[in-house]
Amino acid sequence: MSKIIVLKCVGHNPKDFELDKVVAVQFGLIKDLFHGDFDAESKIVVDVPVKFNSYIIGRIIEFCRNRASWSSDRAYWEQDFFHPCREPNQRKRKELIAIMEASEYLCMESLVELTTQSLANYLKGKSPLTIRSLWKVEGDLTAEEEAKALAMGVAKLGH
Amino acid sequence: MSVLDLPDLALDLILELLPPSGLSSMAKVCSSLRERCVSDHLWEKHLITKWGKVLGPAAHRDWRCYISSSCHLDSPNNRIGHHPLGFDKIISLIRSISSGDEKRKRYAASSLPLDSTMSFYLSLETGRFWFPAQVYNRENGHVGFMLSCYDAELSYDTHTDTFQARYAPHGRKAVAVEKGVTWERLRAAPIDISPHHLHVSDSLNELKPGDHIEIQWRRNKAFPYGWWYGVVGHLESCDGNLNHCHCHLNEMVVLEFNQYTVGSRWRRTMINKRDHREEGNEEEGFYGGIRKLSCKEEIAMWTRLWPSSILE
Repeated sequence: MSKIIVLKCVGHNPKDFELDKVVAVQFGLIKDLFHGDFDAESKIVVDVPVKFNSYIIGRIIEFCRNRASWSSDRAYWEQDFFHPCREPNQRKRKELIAIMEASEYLCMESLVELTTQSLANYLKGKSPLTIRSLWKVEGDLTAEEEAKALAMGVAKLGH
Repeated sequence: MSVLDLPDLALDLILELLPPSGLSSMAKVCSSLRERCVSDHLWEKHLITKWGKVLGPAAHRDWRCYISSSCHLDSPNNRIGHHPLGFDKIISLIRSISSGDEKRKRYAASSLPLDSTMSFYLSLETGRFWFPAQVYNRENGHVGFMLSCYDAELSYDTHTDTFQARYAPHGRKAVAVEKGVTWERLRAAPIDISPHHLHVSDSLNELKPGDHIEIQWRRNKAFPYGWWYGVVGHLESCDGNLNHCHCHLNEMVVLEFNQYTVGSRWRRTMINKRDHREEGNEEEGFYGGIRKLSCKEEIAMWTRLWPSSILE
């Protein structure tokens, strides 16, 4: 019997996720815990902090399984996974941010890079006013600064 | 959820991935984001990526002088055209922050000093700051300057992604100005020295036939030097067979400028390695310091610029 790895999520909708080896190796945190040895017989339970709910952990595991499967529609699936712009609601963006935070905790460097790049791509080319509206940020610039900001218009791509 | 609810590290990771235009937009969203978006570490990467190859020590020195002097303050003579990304407006904003008014108090902990990397980047980008560098084949490939590199002051034009160059005057002649200088014709000066100063050669004894060199040359002593590309040749007494060539042991070294036709007075000159400083006359000009080229990229650059036909 090889190692059994369980990710234990508490809090709202508690759930245990049993990971097979091809998925578990993608978690840097787990890899560090076992020093890369996934073949020794044992059962390990990893407690996930309560702020990372089971839905988000489930999405991360789904990503890892898709990565491991090398299926032909993987590129299409990942494009959908990382697309942050599900307007009008912000659910998808909130999900991406939660995945980014969880993958940073779980030491999954590639997933951190992919999620931050998706969020950065979403911000690119947007005016300050659009960003404020979409991200619900209150502008606290002075009237003079506000007027200058409005006068700038939408930025074109530079060289 | 507000973007500010992101953990600091997460927000920083996102900001690090934004291009300058994105950082500029984010800096205008709110005061908290501005504080983050103007930090040096975010702009250093962009400065090096876009400007690193053309900014040498002289450019950084000139920038420090520029921001410490009063000549850069907003004035009718100093205005530049509208920048598509609004960078010129940001420059005004930066100066108003630093001018000691009410806003300065609010931004006291995060005020953007003029010597910030962002300020440097934007000043280059808007063409407001003219920086020193060198231009290959100046004045649109003028035949009189082919395969040379001259010092100039450059100002960037973001609309065309090219530069305007102002060359140091040659005596009483008007300052030569060239527009449309492309990035590939620019370099930071490889030796940090004024174009009016003689470079003291330090590799003369190592020169051997086949070596690639650059040599300072000027028409007369009132003109600035340019750097001219050449190759070390064989002495006339040598048949060019490398198996028994002793040219490198001779105190005289032959420099060839093969872009000129055979028989041209510009094609070949000889330098005495012993205590070489500057040699020449009013007819053939003055040959100054020599630097041996070891970097393949530098040599390849000169090869790319080789004229399509031999020069007379």
